[in-house]
Amino acid sequence: MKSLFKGHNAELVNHTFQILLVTYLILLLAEQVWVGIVSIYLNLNYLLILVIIAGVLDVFSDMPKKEKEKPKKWDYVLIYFLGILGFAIIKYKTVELGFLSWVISIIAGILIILLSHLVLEEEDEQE
Amino acid sequence: MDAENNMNIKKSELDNFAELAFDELTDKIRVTEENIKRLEKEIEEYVTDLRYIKLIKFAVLIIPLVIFGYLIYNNFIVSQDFTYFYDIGSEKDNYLSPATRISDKIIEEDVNYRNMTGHLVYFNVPIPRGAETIKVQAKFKDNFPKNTKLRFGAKDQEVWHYVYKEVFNSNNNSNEKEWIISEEISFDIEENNLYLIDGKLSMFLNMEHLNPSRNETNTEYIPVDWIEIKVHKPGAFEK
Repeated sequence: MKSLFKGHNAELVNHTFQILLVTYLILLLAEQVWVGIVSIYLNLNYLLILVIIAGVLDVFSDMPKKEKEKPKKWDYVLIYFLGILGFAIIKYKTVELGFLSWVISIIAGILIILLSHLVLEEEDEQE
Repeated sequence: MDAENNMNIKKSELDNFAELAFDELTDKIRVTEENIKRLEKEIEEYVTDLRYIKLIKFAVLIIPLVIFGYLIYNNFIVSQDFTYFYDIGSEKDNYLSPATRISDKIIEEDVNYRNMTGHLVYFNVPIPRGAETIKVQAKFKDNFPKNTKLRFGAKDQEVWHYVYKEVFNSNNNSNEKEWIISEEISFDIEENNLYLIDGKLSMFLNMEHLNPSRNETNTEYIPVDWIEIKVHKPGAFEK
């Protein structure tokens, strides 16, 4: 596949894509938790278009390969934090379901933690 | 004599050799200097590129900061008034429900509207977080029989329950068959304990005389041209 961007430019495109994607996801999450906090003032679809464009350009970029670092203690702390955060958000959004809400949110939280572990271990195996 | 000649020859050879070595060394120094200059230029370009990249990366980082700042400013700091204009009968009109209680769009020379044929017609209003008051106004044709009213309701409980306010009473008016703009009525979200679902408030237009039990002939209707909702959200300093 022919690369459109190389070196610094590829790094720049990748950086832009990451920043836009994380921004979009945070805003989407905020909108899900507090409905209207974003959508009343900003149409998230415009940001989504920018994310998609940056993502497509990133696919066609030739990023220099970085040496993968071994997972640190903080990576595991982050995984557990995100698992608990996922659990809390899903519990909050499904609170009307009663007991089922606990089941769904606990399973979702565990899934987040296990899948994140899997991703970290896969990286180790590749090394 | 011979010895002197030999000496001269050797001296000459030595001079030639020294000259050649000097030329070679000069060439090497020149090439090395050129390489150093080229490297210096490349390093300079690389550093300039790095600065340029860092600058652009910083500019990209500003995008989310601006977005978050904008949202925090609008949600929590500044006082704002939102106006939602529901132009009934316009191209975009898809505001009212159920469809069985409204007519098709009616397009006349200077006005587009729909006829309300049922006693309760609902619509949803997006309410920003922290909003305080909602003002409602409508333009409709006075097609009301005597002793009938037009009221606006706003959902105030999780179950089907609405608080409502009168905007028109046919006893107090004599503009029969004329288009009129109603008085502005106001709901207070906190005082009236309004109930929002996913940031939206369910409201209705109520014309009790159009209730099927009272409108048996089904010939009554109220033409409505537009509904205007003004939502006021106080800022941090206004509170």
